[in-house]
Amino acid sequence: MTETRDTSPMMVIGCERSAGAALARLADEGRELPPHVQWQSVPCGGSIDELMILEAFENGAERVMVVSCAAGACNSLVGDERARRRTAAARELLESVGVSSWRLRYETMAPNMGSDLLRWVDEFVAPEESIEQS
Amino acid sequence: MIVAERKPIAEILANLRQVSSVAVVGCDTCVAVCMAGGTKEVAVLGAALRLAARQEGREQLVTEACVERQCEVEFNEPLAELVANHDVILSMACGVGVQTLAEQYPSAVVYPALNTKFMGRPEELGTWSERCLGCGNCVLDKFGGVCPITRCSKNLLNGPCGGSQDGKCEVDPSIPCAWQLIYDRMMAIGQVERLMRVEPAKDWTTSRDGGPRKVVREDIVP
Repeated sequence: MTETRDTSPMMVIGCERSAGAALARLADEGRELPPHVQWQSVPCGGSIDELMILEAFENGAERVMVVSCAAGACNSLVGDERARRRTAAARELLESVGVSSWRLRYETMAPNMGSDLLRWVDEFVAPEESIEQS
Repeated sequence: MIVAERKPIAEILANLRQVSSVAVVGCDTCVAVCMAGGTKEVAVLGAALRLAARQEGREQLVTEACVERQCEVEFNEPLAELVANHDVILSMACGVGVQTLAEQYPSAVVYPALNTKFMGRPEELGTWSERCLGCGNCVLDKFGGVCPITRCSKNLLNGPCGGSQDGKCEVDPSIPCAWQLIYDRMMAIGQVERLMRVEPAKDWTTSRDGGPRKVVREDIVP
């Protein structure tokens, strides 16, 4: 478990084939997401939609990270592209109701990128905080 | 089907900031198919309104409901208690559904959450295009099933115009020239000679020119 800068509730929504597999590998190494981070597994990035993201914020998450497979690596071919577009649509909607765009982040990864996922979680802070601590 | 899209959130919120309760009511027919106002879209808008209230520090009850067909009063009857218990009904139906609710519940404040666009069909996932203007006098039999009134940007009954280039419309190159489509279709079904006939000017009295229209079936009315 890594020490994080911001311990307010966060949700990571990700494909079980990339982020989920990466978390499983991390678990084998005795590492895991920090306790303030809730993990929501989906069968494919293509099943992530606006509602899922809005509900995460509504249910208390201060930040939401959407993680899909790398471009061209989706088992369902276009799941990553759908996840990217729907995250963009959700970001636009969230901004229109006063939720800052930085609070929703989109990343793509492979199953061997667990350390990157932990780093992204650690670095997922407000832009001004990121500048102060860098 | 009727195609609609959600209004900008800022426009929707402008009507809701002073009220303490809102019922978001969707319609699971046309606007559900075009992903604008069905059960899922109601959930998205409901969540967005609750987040907006939280961000702005307002106390507001947001309730979600959806009926099968908001343009028919029978489907809206179960909404009576919901309507009575909320300051505003935010309808995610087409304009017909919004007006049906407003007529059915005269003391309710009913606002639209969608902009009703046109009668059309889905071309592919996420894309809908206009097919019928509801002119009241269908001429599709004369034009191979391609409507020149709706699909020609100039509503020409005797086309094409000089702006048809490479099968595209001069108004917008992303629009197929309706008259190219008509010609191709008439060739395909062996009726191209019908296009030699000059069509008289359209009688628009069957359209909106005669005011709001009504269909009455004397054999059916009670």
